[in-house]
Amino acid sequence: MNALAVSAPVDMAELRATLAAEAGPVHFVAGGTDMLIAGRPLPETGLLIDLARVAGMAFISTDGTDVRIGGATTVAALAADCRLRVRIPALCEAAAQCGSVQIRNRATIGGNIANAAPAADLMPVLVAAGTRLALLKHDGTQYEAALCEYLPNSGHLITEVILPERGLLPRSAFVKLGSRQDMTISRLNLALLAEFQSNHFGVVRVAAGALGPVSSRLHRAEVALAGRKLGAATLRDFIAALIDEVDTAIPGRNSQLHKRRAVAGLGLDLIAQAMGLSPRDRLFEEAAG
Amino acid sequence: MNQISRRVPLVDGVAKVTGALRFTADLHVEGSLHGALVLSPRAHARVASIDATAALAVEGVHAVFWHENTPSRYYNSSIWFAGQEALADERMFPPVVRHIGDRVAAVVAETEEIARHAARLVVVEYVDLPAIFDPEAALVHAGPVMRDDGIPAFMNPVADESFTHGDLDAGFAAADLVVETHVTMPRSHHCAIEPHACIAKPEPDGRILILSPCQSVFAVQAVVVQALGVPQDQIRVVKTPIGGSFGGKAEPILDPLCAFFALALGRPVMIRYDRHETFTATRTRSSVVGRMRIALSSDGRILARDTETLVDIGAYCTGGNYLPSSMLQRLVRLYDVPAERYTGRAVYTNTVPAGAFRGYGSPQIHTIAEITLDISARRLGVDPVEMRLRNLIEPNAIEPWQGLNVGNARGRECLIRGADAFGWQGRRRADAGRGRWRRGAGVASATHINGCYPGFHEETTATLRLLPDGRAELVCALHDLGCGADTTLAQIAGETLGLRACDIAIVPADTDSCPYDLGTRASRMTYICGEAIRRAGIALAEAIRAAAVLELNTEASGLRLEAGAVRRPDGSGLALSDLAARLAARGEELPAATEIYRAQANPGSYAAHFAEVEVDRLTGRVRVTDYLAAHDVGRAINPMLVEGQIHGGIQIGIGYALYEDVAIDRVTGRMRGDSFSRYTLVNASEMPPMRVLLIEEGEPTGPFGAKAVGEIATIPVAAAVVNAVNDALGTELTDLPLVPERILAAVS
Amino acid sequence: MRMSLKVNGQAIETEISPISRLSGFLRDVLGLTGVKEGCCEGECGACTVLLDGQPVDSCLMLAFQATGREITTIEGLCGSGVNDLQQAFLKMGAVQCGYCTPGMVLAAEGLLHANPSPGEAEIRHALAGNICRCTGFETIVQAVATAAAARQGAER
Repeated sequence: MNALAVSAPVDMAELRATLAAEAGPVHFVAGGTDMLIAGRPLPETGLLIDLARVAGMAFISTDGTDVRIGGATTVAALAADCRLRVRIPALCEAAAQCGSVQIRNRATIGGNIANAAPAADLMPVLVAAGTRLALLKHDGTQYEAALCEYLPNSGHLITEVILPERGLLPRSAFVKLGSRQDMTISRLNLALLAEFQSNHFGVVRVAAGALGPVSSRLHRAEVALAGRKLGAATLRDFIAALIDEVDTAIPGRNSQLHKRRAVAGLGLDLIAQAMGLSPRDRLFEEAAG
Repeated sequence: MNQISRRVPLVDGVAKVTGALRFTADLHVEGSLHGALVLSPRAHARVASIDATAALAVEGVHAVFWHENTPSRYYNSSIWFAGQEALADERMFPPVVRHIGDRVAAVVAETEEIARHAARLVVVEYVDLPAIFDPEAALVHAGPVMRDDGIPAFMNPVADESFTHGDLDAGFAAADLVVETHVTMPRSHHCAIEPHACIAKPEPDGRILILSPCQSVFAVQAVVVQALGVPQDQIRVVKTPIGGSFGGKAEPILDPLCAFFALALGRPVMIRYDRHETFTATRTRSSVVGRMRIALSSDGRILARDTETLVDIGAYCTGGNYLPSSMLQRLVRLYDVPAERYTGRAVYTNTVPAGAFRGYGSPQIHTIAEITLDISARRLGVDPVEMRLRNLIEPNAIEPWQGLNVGNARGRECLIRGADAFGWQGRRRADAGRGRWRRGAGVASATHINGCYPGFHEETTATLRLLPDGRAELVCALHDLGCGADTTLAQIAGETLGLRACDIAIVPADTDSCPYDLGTRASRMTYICGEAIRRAGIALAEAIRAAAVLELNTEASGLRLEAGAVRRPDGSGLALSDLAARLAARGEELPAATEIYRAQANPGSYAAHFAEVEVDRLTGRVRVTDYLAAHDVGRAINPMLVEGQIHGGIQIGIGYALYEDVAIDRVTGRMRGDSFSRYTLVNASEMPPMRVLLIEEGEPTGPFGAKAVGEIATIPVAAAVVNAVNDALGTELTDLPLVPERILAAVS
Repeated sequence: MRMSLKVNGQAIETEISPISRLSGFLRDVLGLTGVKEGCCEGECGACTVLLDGQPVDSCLMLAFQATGREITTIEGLCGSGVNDLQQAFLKMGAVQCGYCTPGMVLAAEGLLHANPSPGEAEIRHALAGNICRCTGFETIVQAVATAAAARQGAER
């Protein structure tokens, strides 16, 4: 019924050669957890390339200045990596909250980016961290691009996800809100990366998912925190900024009323996690009141 | 007692944990073809034309069926026996589709993959008709439901039930407080993890054998006979293991199709729905809008109550016309209400049909009544437990609608002991908090029926016979839906025979070999079938003792059955297998006994549920943080299975209160919650710690005192949770489910 | 295309369509119907199998991707017998209709392999991708905790 061919290259060289040799449409599969969801059309022609076996596409390198992660690295591997947790805890947290154990064991960081779901849990962290991608074109050329410039429809393969050193701020957090606590699709998620010293925020980066077609930075929320002292007043300004961001992002949408309030709760959870505090700490109750 | 009140593991448990148990879709039937359906994308439309050319051209396709080449007979998929009066408005493939997901056509092919591929190639032209998605609007579409020539007119209301008892006006005139509520409940889905499936197989003698995960083989037979117009003895139905039903598999949906295709093609045919089809093309719990006006004295006595319900039964009648009266039946057996008026109407809409779902209207009516009572208690300043105690029905009360005795009703003990164990007083007095998170506690009471008495032949026949190996065979058309009914009933049989549950060989329900039974519905398995089996067991024990007299040289009255043997008073005796061997050697038939048990009563089961919740006022998330369920079960034949029923009932009830809604779009008629990713189910992390308290005061008419628990377990849950949320927030929320949007709209 | 893999300890070489799901391959080609299908979108976990010891949804994996790897289905866990975890499921009433049970048991085995002494919250988190509609999860969590404690005790 179909003329789909399959290739399972064992290393990058074979992958490049396979890509270069293929004239027809190319489809990639890594974990398959997005591609195989019921109701989605499966490729019928062309070449299906299995990325899961490519040596050198699943790795987490935290020794260098930048953190480098292979495109076919599983979400479970991200969640479990202790050294990654030291460098960017928010990414491990986002990975740990992504789907179920079964999904995390198959889903990959490259897939999370390439499938471009608005609610993708790794995305806000990656966006906040100023992530760059190493991409491979079909003709074998390799190039680097900022995550925000990456076009999912380009068909270019994400071989590496690069978290530049300067984006890896010492405090980080990821929180999400879904219809359930576990194994839930984000209706809203937030990530934060920040400098924090002597009870003051330094540089701050905040990004949100499920507020628009792609995860994006929330600059007003960043401004509300940057350089400010951690306290109820700052938190109130932060919440106001988050609400402002929601109002701008989804004006008039059915979910606006819900999300503009929920973002306040999620925002407090975010700061609490970054500070290693409980969101039930008096500080946050004061800010919420 | 050797088997009763014991935590006996499931008799079919090993097959389940090892994956050896074969469900319908797991069966390999030699030469089987596979069917795939074309479901309507339109909410209400005439099927103007169907072009099957492309589908038929696919290699491996055997046939394409639609309204022009299938029986045009109208049927009702909820009937329980041949000839049952019911509004017959359903067709195998209707020429006018009435909801998104209605059946348009089917392709039968060598494999499921080919059938599904070809089904996408069937070209259908529709002419859209006006569609109604709102039950209030549906009321305007009024007229006779059936034309004079027996053709369904699809007019509303399909049912209109009213009842008055006592002096309503006097009650309201005397009231210190009148509370009026408007409660809405969503359409929820059973979500049994096994999707619908069926196999039909032509037999060499020209009959059709249907293998179906059903709740009654006789109901399947009756519906298939009505749909196909074939003689009853041409259809044989055997129940296959069932991967959860909760009422969702009570009505045969695929069975008439499979049977007809198998008959037409002379080959076995299997159809299995995928999850999307199971959501959009089977049944749901009916959504209900309820209005209740309640008159109270200042000390919390109910003086009068006036209830109106509007039930959206969807596109086909099925059993939906029973819902208004069924809700009334449960409403009147909980509290002693001196004056009561009830009006219940059921209406068609262009949405997926409603059907049976655990409690059959009972969760809906209890949600209306118990939320209303709680709001009344708060407005009166009376403790909700205290208020319920002042109004609860007493044991052996006669309910006012059907005049039935409610039996050994122990709703009071459920409340008192439950409140004590839950620490109700302390929790209720505790501060809800003033910050982001608020805590609250809620309670709800409930009752439910035990069987169908005084309606439809509420009787069953059980046969038990001694087997050569000393075990006993049980024939009683049993349909275990996964709740452990087979185990419970085997314990009852075992108890009477001195055998273990695992020594009872249960013959699967089969229209050929089992006498008629209504099937698993109306909380009747333990109470009705259990009593028939107990009686048959006593009769068989008698027969075994009589048969052993000669062998043991003792009076029958001195013999007892225990541990697989028949014994003299001194303990000496004969293993049943030895007795069987000796009887066989003498050419005698092995003892057997058959009992026909006709129900004489329909007592109530009672319960009180207590929930504690925490509400996040910023995100709108509700978490149930603690739960206690107290149940009047008469006697727990198997406490482990009883607790399991209650745990599962709480799970479905929490979903009903907080998450579950197939969410039919009021503009397009499209179901938004049509997959597990879009229909939120409670998973392990959402469940609170649960405690179960069993009140075992014995129901004189039940087997070993037992009453039903399966359905009632889910009935009070939603109200208890909603009441807890209202306690936490100081709100009067009455629209379910309490999704974050609704919580936030109430607090901001 | 041809592929070879190990299923329940047995080496298998077979012809397979490139877009066959692992769940379909295990059920239809190998007859391992202990692998159940509930949603085909990774939400219910009924099709859970162990891939080199780790739980995955076999509905969301292409069969050919299992080339050279080892799959364990419920049939391969303890043959026709029941292991201590399955025994705990039976004794504690963690099984009702049984449809989710194979996937649930395998997800729990995957957890106990990765974390031999999980706390209650960890068990619930690890089973969040397996839906049971019958039990309220209470006895399932108890069964997993009981089996974990017994295994830990046996090691000491």
